[in-house]
Amino acid sequence: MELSFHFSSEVLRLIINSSILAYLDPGSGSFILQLILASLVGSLFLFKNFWKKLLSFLRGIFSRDRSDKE
Amino acid sequence: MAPEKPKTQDSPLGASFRDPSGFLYLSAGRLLRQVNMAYQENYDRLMTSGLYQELVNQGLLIPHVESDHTGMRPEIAYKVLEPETIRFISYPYEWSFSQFKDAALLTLLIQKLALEFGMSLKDSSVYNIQFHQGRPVLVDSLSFEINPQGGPWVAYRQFCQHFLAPLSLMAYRDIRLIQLLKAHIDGLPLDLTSKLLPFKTRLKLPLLLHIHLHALSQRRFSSAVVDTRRTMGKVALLGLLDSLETGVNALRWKPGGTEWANYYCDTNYAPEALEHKKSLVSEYLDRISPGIVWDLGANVGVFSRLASERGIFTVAFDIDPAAVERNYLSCKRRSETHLLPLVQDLSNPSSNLGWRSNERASLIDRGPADAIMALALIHHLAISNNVPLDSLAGFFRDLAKWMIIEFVPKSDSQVQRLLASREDIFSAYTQENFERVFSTCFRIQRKSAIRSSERWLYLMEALPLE
Repeated sequence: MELSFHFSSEVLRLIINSSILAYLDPGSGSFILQLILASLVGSLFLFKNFWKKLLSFLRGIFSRDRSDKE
Repeated sequence: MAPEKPKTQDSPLGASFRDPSGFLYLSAGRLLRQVNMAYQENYDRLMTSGLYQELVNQGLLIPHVESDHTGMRPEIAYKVLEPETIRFISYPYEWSFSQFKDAALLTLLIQKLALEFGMSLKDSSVYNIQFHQGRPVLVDSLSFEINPQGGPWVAYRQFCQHFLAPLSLMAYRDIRLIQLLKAHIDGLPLDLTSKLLPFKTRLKLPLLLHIHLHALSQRRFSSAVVDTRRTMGKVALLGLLDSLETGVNALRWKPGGTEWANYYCDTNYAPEALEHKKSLVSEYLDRISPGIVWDLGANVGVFSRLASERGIFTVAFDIDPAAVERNYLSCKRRSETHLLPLVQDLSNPSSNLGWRSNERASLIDRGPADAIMALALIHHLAISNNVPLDSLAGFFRDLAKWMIIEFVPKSDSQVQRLLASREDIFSAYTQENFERVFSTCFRIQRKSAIRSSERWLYLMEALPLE
């Protein structure tokens, strides 16, 4: 576990080094983490919304089929 | 000419000193909020964008009216607001699990709404949430700032420390860890939370990201320099909020068979005794018509509801988080607006905490109530906790003018149960001595034997302090 945390830490360092310019208070870690997570959480959010819309679309088709048969 | 009355002194609230946007103060018994000129632009946007109205319409933010008071520091004042009164200020270490979870979800919902109006929460302190008319509400109307572009969310760290960390510890480790908030007044440190959480929480994506990696990131970049102009898009910010919401929603706590949660199913009360006790409590309440009642040792609130259903605002305290959880869930289900269940250990009541011991008020400082109910309680304090009767009487007198109290004699099976595992050193615990000792602090107005039991119910009025 220590090893994987060390690895993650190094990944964070590589990603963030290019953006280091100005001083920020102890919230730096929280600020940087959000920038790192931006693409991940943004994509998950879009995928989730797409999936919800797809499901409701399919549900709409099937419920229409059923009411047509009735 | 009559002598001029001395001008009432305004006093700032102990917890309201950090935010340069404004502060709360008391003026002639009214709670007012000064909005400083530094916050003018943000306040105007809150009010004119429609966000304030939307939040108030949905019952998410405490409503306020603009007052004509000049402010406590008029030289920097932009406006003075008078918010609707919260009947009892509670703190997160007094909430049940679901109260805490609802407060977290409320904060995220408000942040999402704020983004729709081009604003954002600039702080997400758990202490900005209070329970009002049965529901959590945001009480700090100066928490918003104009934010047209998206993230990063400046209150992200605070949200994780104030909400996600304590909730995840309660759900995955132990409900009692909520008490850590008393030691860490600005929320739980994420490195500590990460250490205390079990390994399996690393397999839950929201907790992996927002607790474990967050703690790691804080450690790694504690003294880093970073370009604060860097931004993340609105979709990314919505994704972050969605991820936090998913994480909070997934947290569950199911109370097990704790000590008192099954009390009313597992007691020596005969149905007739229970009904008679209810009718006596109702009679006493009608006689004194209190405005605020504190029910001490309320369990799931059976007797608290005798007061709250009469329209009396009632705080139902109990030591057992499971009983308080059940009580809160009942309140929610029935949309009760006059009952507030809270966790409170009366052998160690909430004390003054924070900067200059003045940010969070003790239980006693939040009183007095008009009346307290101490039903089936004193044997726990006097026998389980060895509190002498005179000390108990003094404590109760500090809390309210009126008291409805039940005396449970030693011969009662519940007391026998407490004595089974300890030496009986309580020779002073007799009904005669109880009346004698309590008469030094109270006047006994009524006393009645509860039918089909050996217990007695008293209505007492506090004697004026000499």
